[in-house]
Amino acid sequence: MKNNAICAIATPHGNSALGVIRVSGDNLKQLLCHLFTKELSDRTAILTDIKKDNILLDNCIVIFYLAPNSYTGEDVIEIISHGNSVIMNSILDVLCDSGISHAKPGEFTQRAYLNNKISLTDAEAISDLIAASDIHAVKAAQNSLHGKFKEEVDNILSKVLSIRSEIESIINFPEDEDIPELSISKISNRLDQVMSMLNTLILNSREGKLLNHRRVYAFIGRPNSGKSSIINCMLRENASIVSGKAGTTRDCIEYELNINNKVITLVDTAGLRQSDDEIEKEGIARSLQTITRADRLFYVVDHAKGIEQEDIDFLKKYNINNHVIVFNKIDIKGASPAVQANKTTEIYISALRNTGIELIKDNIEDDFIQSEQSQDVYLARSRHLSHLTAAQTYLVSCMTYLRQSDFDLLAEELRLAHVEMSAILGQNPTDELLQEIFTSFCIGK
Amino acid sequence: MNKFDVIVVGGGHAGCEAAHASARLCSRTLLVTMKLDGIGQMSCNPAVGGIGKSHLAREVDALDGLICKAADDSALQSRVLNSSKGAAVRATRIQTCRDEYKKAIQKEIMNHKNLTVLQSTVKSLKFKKNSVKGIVTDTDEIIYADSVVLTAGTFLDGVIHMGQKTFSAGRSGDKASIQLEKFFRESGFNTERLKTGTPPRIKAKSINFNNLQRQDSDQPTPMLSYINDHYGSDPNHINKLPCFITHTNTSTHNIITDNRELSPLFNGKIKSIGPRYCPSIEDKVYRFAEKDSHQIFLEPETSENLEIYPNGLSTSLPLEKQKEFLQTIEGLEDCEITQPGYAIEYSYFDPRGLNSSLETKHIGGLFFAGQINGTTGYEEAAAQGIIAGINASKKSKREPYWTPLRHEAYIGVLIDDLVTQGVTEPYRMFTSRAEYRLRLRDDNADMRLTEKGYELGVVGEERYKLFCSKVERIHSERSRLEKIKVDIESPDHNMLIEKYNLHLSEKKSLASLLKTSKIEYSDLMSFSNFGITANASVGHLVASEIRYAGYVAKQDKEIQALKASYNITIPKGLDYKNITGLSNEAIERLNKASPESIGQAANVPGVTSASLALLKIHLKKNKDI
Repeated sequence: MKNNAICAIATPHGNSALGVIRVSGDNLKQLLCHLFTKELSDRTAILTDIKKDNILLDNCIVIFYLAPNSYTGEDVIEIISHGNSVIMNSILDVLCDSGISHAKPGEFTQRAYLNNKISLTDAEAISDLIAASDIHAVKAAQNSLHGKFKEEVDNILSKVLSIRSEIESIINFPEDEDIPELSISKISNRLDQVMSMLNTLILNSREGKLLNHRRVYAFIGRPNSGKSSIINCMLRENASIVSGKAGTTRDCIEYELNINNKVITLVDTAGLRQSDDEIEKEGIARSLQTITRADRLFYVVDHAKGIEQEDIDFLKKYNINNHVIVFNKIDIKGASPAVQANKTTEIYISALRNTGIELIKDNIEDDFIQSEQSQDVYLARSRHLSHLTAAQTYLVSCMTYLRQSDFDLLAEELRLAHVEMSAILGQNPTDELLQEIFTSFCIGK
Repeated sequence: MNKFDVIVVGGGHAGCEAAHASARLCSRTLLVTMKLDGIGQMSCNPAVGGIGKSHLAREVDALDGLICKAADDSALQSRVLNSSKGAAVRATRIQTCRDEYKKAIQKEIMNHKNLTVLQSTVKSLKFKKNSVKGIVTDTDEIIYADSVVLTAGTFLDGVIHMGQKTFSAGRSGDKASIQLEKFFRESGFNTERLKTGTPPRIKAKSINFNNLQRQDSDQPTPMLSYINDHYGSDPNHINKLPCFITHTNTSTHNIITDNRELSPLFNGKIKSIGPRYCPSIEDKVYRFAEKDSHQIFLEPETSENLEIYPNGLSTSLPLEKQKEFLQTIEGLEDCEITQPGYAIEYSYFDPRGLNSSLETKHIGGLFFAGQINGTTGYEEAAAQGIIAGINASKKSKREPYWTPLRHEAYIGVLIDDLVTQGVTEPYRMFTSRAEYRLRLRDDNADMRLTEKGYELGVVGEERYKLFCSKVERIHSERSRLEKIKVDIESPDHNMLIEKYNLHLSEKKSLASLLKTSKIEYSDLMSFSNFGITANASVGHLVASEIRYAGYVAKQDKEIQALKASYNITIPKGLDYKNITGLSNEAIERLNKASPESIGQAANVPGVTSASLALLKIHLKKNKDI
């Protein structure tokens, strides 16, 4: 059952002596008492075991703050465990099993503000935090939805949708001949199939097989600035067409690159400029999509020309701010390879002479290591997982109601399962459902 | 007579409910219609109710509205749909006699002491600053009121298409309202176009029904109004008539395919969007080319049974082609068309321009209801009409508005969807649109709304008394069933084991047995100590309450949060550009929908939980300053 409580790791990610997990919500004492070996009382620290499936996770200190005298103004629990990320993530899993959700970025502070716990001057800062974290969270969510995992989610979702559209059609259009008769055995088979797909997906996701995200680094810039040449240097092979004519890479091309055993994706994009050529326009459109997907952007500029108004306009127009500027062709003016850490990092290289390329690789490696410590991807994954397990629970009830021929209750559980699955892909379940019904069946009366 | 509290423009399903509700609330009300005899006319199929629709209609009835009573009084054939699929999706549908229906509505409209009716055409409205002050008729007469409800249906610049022919009309035989549409466009309202259609009507005597499948009323005859169904009143009975079912075939489809170029829907003449769930026969044949047959219901139009409405054959082909394809259908070989089918394009207003009270955001005191808000269907129109009527009256009395929320009524779902999401095709209610479908049953609309309606003043004393006595009967039957226990040793327990494979470990009440899905109230009646029941229909209501109680309790918390989110209001005219951190998409969508509350904002497509958090912080910040 859902409640309004949220949880998150409050200490920086990575291993340390101690770590704090914070929980905020209504009636926490009642909600979580079964997890602890001692009774909670206001502002008192207790020492307690925390177990998952009867296996001891850690011996923790737990402090309870009764509402409204807490950081958020709601009941708050702080769990102090050893600062090991495996332990802490397992404790989060235990909390989520009790119906607690992962906090969204800035959500603790937001609650504190809405409950008059912090002052007006903080409000702007929270807004910035939420907005910035939201961009990261959206990106992390998108990035964790790749390859096999996304394929499986799509697959299951479309099966759920198709069963649901059949059942809703039977309910909503009982007089239309085109709608199939309700067959318990057929629906039961289809539900079985979906459940087994979902079970496998959850199992694999838990083991982290499918959710591993590969970080994406994209090279963008105006035509002929040398994006493809730089990537060729990094890959040490001639992979994309390089010529002197502006606009030769007309599509986004992805490469896999291994930097010190870290596998990343490099993307070469079409040069950005006004164009009337349909194919080139399409390429530019894809470059723009890549911008939203990439973890870091390298904006390539011809060193001889420097940054021009068109570059500035472009960066501004597409709201690009997490980029590194790469000045290519330093050989023309005879400059040396270098990194300058200004407000925006600048890297000076020459693809032609193959100098300075390692500076780009270093930059990527730094970003990679930092990102390892970032919680975004873990959070995105565990959100997906919690939607998947919720959907699983609803589908189990579907089977019960189907056996009892309780069609309205079956339809309700199926709706809830569909809502959970749609949330992963950010779709509107009602629109999708109606669309599916009207394309599958000829509704007439 | 040039000053009223409320003026309602239009005498269709929305207009009649609006005017009558306003009159029940003791506002001096004027209903203006272009044609007196058009009041209460069913312009499309002669039926009320159906899945999702009887839910809406019964909610209107629970607020003492007209539609269900009129349908019961004019019932030709009545059926319960989905009877075996659970009470939450069960529905009632009544085929009506068009003439009797109209008569029943007109009787109510003409006889209310607070309601005046005027035949006239409205050409413009009087505004003062941003408030409505009255209407101007085409004879330049001005009539004043602080509340005006506009329910113009498909009449706003309606254009009928039939083959190559195109002409201006509000519906077959009625003129369109062109001046009024022009007035609104010039006053800064955004109008857009939608399309709908209707089938040809056929002379009953020219049909050979002998080999067709016959469909009679269910027995006992279902009724729509709670007055008749639950409170024991008896409607006006008229001569019953069956419907018949026939089918199109490949010859029908060939004619339609061969004449594709003559159908304005497909030769590019009609560009606006029609409803996907009510496609023309051309649409069905082209889009589902693999099907060689479609089902057609032959529905009687009136109790005299002179004309038949062939449901499923809406078309805009030329008249001679309509006749040609009709005559390929079994039973219709010699049929004569009495009125041709047609498609109609009409203007509607983007409903995101409305508050949930159905008052326009642009002009105070001006309310829109019905098809002009982009909906389709009598029940959808009536539902908006009653809310617009209530709020127009409240406006004139300076009392607070009322609109039910999504968990209280399908009316709430309908209005919330309209004002937050707008429409892309004519909006029809489906039970799938309701998140709280298990609560919003057609058996409990009065339990959800009548008390509130009485408090508002729109439900009369007489009805309220009948309602209270029903509630009393439900309660006493429920507590009676809670007291009667089944003993483990009793033969009743053996019966439970045999029939339902239900083993009891301890004494159980009859009430708790109803939680077991297979056991119906009627099954309990055979128990040895069942005793005497007051009324079986009350028993079914008790059973359905018990059955869904678990879900209802589970949703309570969610609903509390939902209610709270609708209570956080957003100031009028907030420019979302000024909110730190909102994405461009969210800004654009929120500015377009300009929601009244956080609850509404949450329902605007593309608004994420992060956007809502930012919005909440912004609102609090402004309040703190």
